[in-house]
Amino acid sequence: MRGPDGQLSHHDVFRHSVPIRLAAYWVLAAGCLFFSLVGLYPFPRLPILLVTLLETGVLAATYRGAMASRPMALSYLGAEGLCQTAIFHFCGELRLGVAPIVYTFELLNPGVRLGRAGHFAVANGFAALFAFLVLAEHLGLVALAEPPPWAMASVLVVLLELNVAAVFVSETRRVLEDRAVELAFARDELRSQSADLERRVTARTAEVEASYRALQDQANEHRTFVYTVTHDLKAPLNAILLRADRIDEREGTTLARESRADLSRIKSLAERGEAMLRDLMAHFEVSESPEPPDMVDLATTVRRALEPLESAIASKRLHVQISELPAVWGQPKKLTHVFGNLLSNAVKFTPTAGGRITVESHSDDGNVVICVADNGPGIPAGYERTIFNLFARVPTSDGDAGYAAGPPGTGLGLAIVRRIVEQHHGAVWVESPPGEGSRFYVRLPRRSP
Amino acid sequence: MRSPPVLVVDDDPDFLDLARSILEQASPPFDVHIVTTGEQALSFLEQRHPFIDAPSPRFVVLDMRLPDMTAVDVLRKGHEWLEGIPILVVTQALWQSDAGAAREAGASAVREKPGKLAALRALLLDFGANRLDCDASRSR
Repeated sequence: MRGPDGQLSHHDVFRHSVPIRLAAYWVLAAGCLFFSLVGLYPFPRLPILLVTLLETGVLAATYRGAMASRPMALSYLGAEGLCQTAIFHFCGELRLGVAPIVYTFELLNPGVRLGRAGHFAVANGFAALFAFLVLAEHLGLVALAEPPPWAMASVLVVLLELNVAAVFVSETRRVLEDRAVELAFARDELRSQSADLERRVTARTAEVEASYRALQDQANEHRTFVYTVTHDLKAPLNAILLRADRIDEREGTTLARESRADLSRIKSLAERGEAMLRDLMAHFEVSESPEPPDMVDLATTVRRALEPLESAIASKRLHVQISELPAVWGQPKKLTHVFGNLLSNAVKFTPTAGGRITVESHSDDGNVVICVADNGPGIPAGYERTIFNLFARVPTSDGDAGYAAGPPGTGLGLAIVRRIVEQHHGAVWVESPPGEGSRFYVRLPRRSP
Repeated sequence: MRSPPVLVVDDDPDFLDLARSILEQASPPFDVHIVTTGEQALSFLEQRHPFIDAPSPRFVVLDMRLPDMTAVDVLRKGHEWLEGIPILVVTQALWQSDAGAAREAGASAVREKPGKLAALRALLLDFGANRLDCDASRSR
């Protein structure tokens, strides 16, 4: 199991280990020099210094190669072993103790990737170097301090110790490497997953932005359309009103009675047209203006919607009852407009004596249904759907005093209510059983769809 | 004494007719100058051809929507020449966002064109006599 990243992280480890190893050699050399200078132990200063220098050079020159190929790695370790053996050579009586420790340390070198066999080869190579050193001493080939009587036995100890170390090192390294490769794989997987996720988020964001822009363009277009229509329709109506006023001012007193009546009829017709346009504009400004959605507490919304109606409620002595209302996800101003409109209709059409308005709510799966009910004359049969159309009016029937008495509207309010509720992915409808007033229902989703 | 000059910028002949008669019948009467496009209004204010002899108006009545540009464009382009001249921006249908933009660009007041002759007369003459409550957020 070799991941592409396993090799890389191994290289990194080795590269970072090089300065540490160099520092270790120089600390060792400095220790030797210090002990010899203060007279604790007579290390030969110059040879140790020179060998350390040589070792530094070997390490610096060959460590790249040692990473790249196994023969280079082995020769690198061989050179290391020779250098260290030379240092032990100058360590006198301490040499037999120092050598196994430093050889083991060398075996742990993370820079060289050897299999189990490679580790045994290196371990036994070091043991051979050590044996050679001891043998050379024994044979008097090199003039060292007097070899202790157990010098030959120490060769066996070193041989055993280095082989045990080789087993330990190759096992540990195998486990660590497997783990490193697993980690590298996991990291790769994670990286590709997060890149994928990022790509998807970017794509989705672009999609959402594009549709938002399209919606905004649409809203702007709609707005420009309504703006132009209201502006262009208002201009001639205004001109009619002003010119009629001028006739009235100039010749009002001299006009025939019929002409005066016609003139005032012209004015009232133009005024009605103007009022409709004004309403259209005002409602449009509410229903089409952008507003950030939020959690909307309907109790607050209804309370706010009732504020401008308070004086009318008081003067008609109406009884208004509001039950507990939940919160929904929506646009606060627009929802206030919805309930303001329904409540103002209720106030407008409820009789002065014994008038009663209730606001209640109940939930069905994921939706909230709010009911604004009054005990007014109700909606005549057959108009339950059309009253939500633009400019729709309910005709006054003879026996229907409530509507005849009610102030004239422009037929826009409920159309705007329906538009806002539908913008909220909800629905609005009315039920009006004969003689029981009207019940307007608004269904809104509790959360954004 | 010469009548104070007034510039009325609009492309609606009915409004121009009525505004002219109101301003000319005021006492003392105004010297009413009429142009119908934003470009002409700028030429008038800058005294460019064909308005080389144009007087500096006492005040300006400016329609929000002109055939070639909006009142906001006129206010921005003519900023230099409109310094110190009260400007009444009128519009057939008043949208709050437009009113804000016009005030920001230097309009003294933004009003909907009244549908009653008496109200129109009061608006123009009060503005001319500096009696109109101008909008607070004027940035000029």
